[in-house]
Amino acid sequence: MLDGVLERIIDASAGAVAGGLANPARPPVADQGWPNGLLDSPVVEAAVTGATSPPPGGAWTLLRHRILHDIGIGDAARVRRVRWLGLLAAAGIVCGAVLLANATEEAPTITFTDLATMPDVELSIVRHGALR
Amino acid sequence: MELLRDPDADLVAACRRPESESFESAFEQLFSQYRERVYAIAFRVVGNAVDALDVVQESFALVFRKLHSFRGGSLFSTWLFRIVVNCSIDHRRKRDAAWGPMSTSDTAQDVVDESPTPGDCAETKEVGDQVQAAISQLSPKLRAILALRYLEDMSYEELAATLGLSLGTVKSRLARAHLALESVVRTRFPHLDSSTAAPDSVGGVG
Repeated sequence: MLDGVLERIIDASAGAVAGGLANPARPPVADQGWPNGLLDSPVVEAAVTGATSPPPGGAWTLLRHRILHDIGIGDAARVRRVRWLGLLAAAGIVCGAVLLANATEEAPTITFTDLATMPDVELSIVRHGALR
Repeated sequence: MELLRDPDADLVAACRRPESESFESAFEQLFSQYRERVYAIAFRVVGNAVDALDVVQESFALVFRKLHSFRGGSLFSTWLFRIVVNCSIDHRRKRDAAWGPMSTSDTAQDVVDESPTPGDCAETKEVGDQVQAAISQLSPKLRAILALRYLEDMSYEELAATLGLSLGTVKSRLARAHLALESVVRTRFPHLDSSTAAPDSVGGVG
């Protein structure tokens, strides 16, 4: 508590003369004459960039879902996906129906008649002559 | 003065339209790009993995909820890190108010790393715990400025922009943080001094 108060006083007075009294690390003029040792420390760098505990496996996936849920996007995305799947299913049904309709051929009409000569039409099977 | 274009501008623009098809991809890219850096900063401020993950969640949720109010006056990353620092400090204060300040042993126990640890890993973990214990001696504000300075390699101007402080306050706070942490390291954890705690030897996140 007291540390926090002192910290706020020091921060607030960083640009004032009184700040120098409260903060022994602060030189008389705020932006000039800072010894590099006070602003860059290899000991501190080694400590700060040292080992941190990595998050447990799968944490990012779970976190991603939670964030999306927090901001109300998770449900909307699910609705959008369901909507798209519905549209795709409907399109598939329509395409299938069209293909099925095109694939259905009319039943051929069979006409029996006597032919004296070969008819001038394309037939897959022509039977020419008297029926047996 | 030439203004630099924010490298995240397109992703941010896409994330402003949650109803658009590009939202999820943009969200995924921003989240993947920054999550480990956000986690590393939060970890250094709150002191353990569980709380750090809570801070990551709070920070990203807040960022995406408030994205419409981000005017691009700074880089997106600057804005994000400012929110992360504020969330981390708030989180730490709330927890300390509810449960009291975290002790060194609590810090070590709360670290979530249940994977098998061979001898060298155990040693690394022990060093990591001690580093975190040393950092935990500082106030959240001092921890935050150190994390941004060394994990994000921010300049004094970037620190000022991210923390919303004057350059003088940044330098003052940074100097106090150095003095305090150096004092803790040298008196309580002398083996963590630069000769034995080089970053390459202990690994790290972010």
